[in-house]
Amino acid sequence: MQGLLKNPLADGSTLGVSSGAALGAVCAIAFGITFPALPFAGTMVTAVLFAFLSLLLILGLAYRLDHSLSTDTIILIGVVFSMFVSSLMSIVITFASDRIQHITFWTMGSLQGKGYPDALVLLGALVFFGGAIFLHSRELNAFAIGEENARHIGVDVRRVRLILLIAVSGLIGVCVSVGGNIGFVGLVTPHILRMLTGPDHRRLLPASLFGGACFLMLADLVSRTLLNPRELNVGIVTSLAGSAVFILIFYRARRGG
Amino acid sequence: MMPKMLEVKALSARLGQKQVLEDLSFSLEEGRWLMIAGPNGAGKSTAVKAMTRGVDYQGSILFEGEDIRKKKSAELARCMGVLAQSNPVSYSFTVEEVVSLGRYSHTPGLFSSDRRRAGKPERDMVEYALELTGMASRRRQSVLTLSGGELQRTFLAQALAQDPKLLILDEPTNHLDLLYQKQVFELIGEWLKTPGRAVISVTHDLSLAKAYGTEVLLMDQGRKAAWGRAEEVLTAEALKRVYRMDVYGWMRKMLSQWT
Repeated sequence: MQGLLKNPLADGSTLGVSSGAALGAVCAIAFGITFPALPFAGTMVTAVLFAFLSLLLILGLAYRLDHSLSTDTIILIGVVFSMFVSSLMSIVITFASDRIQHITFWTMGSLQGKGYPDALVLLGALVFFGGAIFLHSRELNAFAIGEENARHIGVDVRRVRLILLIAVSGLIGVCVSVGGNIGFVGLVTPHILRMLTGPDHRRLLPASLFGGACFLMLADLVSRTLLNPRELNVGIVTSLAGSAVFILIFYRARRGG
Repeated sequence: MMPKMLEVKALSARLGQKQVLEDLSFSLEEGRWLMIAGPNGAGKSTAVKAMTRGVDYQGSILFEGEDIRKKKSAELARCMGVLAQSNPVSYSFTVEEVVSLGRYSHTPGLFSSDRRRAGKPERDMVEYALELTGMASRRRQSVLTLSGGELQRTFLAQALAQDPKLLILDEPTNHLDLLYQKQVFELIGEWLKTPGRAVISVTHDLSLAKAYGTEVLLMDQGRKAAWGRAEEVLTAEALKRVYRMDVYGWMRKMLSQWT
């Protein structure tokens, strides 16, 4: 996403897409949307759908305000959108107070009680959506250099952007429906790894995949051991670490560093 | 008869409520260098954008007799290469990575642009573009560390590596000092000598337009004010009408500072 939007601060959590996906999942639980064939498909489908809708809404709004989709506009809208979503979430929770325990899990983000079936679902989503993204690495490079430039060198900008946005929403939606809203992993990891691999997405994407997984595992380890025997939600740990890095990046970007 | 390389017919475009292009028609044959001149807001850049399908427009733009709206993106990029007015960069790609992406429309595969795997002709095009623009020695440098002029030359190299038939330059000498202005114009003049090529450049510099352009399109408020051979178009009366000042008198006054 940082490449596609040519925006080093773009990420599911800063743009509010993860929150949107979490809202979708919460709605599914609160209103009992399920699909008979698959037990947890209800939350997943709504999460993916809400992620995509959020992304469209945020980018659409940002585009109307500022055609260049500049860093500050998007982040601002993302923040406003996150607040809007959290208020919607509160409304939903008010209506479904009997399921509150279940719902807070999604807003916090946790890997508690997740087993191999969940991992399999994630793997499937990764191969499908992640593969789609990886196959467009060169186009992503072009987007990262500039959307206008991408058009000039012959990238079908509209088609590629749509594919990537769908794939990204799909990934975020599935991840959120399994793990809840675990923020900032996607923001921090590519930043650190870009220093090692350079900005070429053909190297950056696979590296981020493993880097992100490592970061999450570390965070999970910290969350399970830090206050032993109590377990923190892993989302809290990643958000703590992530927001610190976020501020650092923003500070350096502003100083032109 | 061979169709003309580029034929623009009754081109109109709006940006929001504003009519920025109105009933613009012109054409270009190979071997020619068309200069588009006119005051700020005359619609020069919008005309260039329309040619690369960057804005919605009415009317038609034909490349070698074919409507550009019917072409695929990559196909269009093999016909036309564009050097944009400005190219802000925010990630530290190297000069060579940026220039190599110019080959995208010829080799769409995921790894086909890699130095090791690309065929010799592919590498040669990139090499040729780097040499021609004098960026070969800086190929490993990050684009974030380049000066405005070097960045401009990097993207010119990208457009040349694209090997288009028509090269479109939107104010190519914008960020360049005098030496590079001269070098870039001479380099493009050299590039144009190969048959089957043509150049369009938008410029504010009327002296450059007169010196290098084989023909000039003078625009004013989204319309065509004059179009034809450079010396026929850039007359004292036409310039006075379009720029609302005595351009000839001003140019002479400027020149007289050097005697």
